[in-house]
Amino acid sequence: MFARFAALTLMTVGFLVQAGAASTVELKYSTGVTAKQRELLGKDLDRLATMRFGDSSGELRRVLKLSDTSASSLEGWLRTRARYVIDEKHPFDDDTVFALAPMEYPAAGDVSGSQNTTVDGVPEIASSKAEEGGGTPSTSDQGKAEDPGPTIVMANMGAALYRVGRENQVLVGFNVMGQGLVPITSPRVGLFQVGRGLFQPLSPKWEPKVVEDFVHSMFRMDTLFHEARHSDGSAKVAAKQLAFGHEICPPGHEYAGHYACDRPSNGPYRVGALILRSVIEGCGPECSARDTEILTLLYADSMSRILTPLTRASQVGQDDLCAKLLRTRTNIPFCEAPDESAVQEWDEAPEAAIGG
Amino acid sequence: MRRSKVFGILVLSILGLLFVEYVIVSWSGSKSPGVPGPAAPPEGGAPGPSSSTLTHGHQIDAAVPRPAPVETAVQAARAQAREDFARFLEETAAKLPSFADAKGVSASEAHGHPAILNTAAAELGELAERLARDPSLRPQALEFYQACALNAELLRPVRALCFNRAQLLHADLHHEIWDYDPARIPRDVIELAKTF
Repeated sequence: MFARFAALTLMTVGFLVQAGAASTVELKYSTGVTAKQRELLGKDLDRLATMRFGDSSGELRRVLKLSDTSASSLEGWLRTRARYVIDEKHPFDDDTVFALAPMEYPAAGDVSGSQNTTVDGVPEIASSKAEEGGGTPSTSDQGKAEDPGPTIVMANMGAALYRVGRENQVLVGFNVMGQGLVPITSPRVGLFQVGRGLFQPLSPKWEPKVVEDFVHSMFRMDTLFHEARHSDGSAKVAAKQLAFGHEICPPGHEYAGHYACDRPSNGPYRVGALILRSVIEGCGPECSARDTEILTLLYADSMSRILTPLTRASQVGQDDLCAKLLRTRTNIPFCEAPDESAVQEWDEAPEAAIGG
Repeated sequence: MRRSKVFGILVLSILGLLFVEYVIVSWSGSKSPGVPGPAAPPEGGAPGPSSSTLTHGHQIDAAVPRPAPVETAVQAARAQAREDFARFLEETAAKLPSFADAKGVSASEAHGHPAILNTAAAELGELAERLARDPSLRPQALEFYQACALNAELLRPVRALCFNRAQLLHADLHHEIWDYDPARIPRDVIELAKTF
């Protein structure tokens, strides 16, 4: 009798803890981030804290260097790379960007590439127009109604400011409206700029309220983890490895000519894809067929940006196409392992300013 | 005498009516043996008025096997669902993004998931949801996915998803994999499709 009572109590407490789990990722917002945007991001992170993540291939753990794929491990990964969220209209000018002191930075592996590097995927600060940077903008019609330019989705401005400091050998300070001065000592300062594009329905025919649903929440988490990867890497080997800069997509690619691809198979696109894959794998009946299919296409889009051969980058899991087909059949020609190529991965260890 | 006369007329009238009915029944029976009346619906259609409204109609119906009303209604609903789904697939196919569409994507938009891709995701999500609700639509969906996977104009992630779904559906419906023409689907699309 007592055992039954104890079990029931534990189950109830467990349910209450899970239902009310709050995220340990505490983002600090600039004054321009709207209450609705804060609410949505807060709910996304709370949702993340209660989710299960599948990782049958083990790739999420390997690429993110995690011991497990529990929500708390993923939160920890995010916590070290995402701290501040600023709005899309936040100024980048003499009132917000300061040279605090002369500063020495680690030498770049390829000196010629360390100066005036074309910024790739990490927004360009020098232009002082963040909206034209490399973040993740969308071209939703809702955005165009107010502003003819693309609506920003998310951009890692901390990494961009760090590059500015590095190139000018100064320690940059950034005044986050409402939060105060943030010294940019490392790309891991975790300063993200968000725009309306992050909070708009994926389909123009959908009602605005859908942005609160599971799919849109996961779309934002995919973007957040992608941008968080830009907080990693160093110029130790090559300047473009700092903040995991993107590469120009080659001829024949959908986005040929744009900085919308990754050379390594552990860059931002892979991280975003792995998060989506893990969400799909870990999601039970609460995920509808519709949700799964939408997230799968977003996953495929990110995977298509990786220039390292996918056959090695994918490290297929128990749930992939060939695993399913081979359960009941043999000799499937396209499931035979193709020639393996050397996988290219960059060192994720971030660099930091050495001192003044 | 008068009463017997009235009785005789009544009997003759009844006999006359029976004869007329016999003639009508014989005539309609010889005109369309074994075929439903002109108002009868085609297979799966809605039931219409039939000759069974005649006094001895049940004798004719017994000679022509017809689906029960409930079965007919189900068939009608299925036919309607297939028709609706075919229309939906046609509309969806027209919305799938192509390489030509991708040329209009700006540098900054290309960094994330472009709107053309997100819209396609929404449409393909709707398709998956319809299939989950009504598995009888799978043969039509298979044709759609195969055509999509073979369409060289479409974006590779979309083709990869279509190839993946086509293979799984084909295996499900025909107990063997889809024997596609490898020359028509590039290796990178196949490799991408194998990652999920």
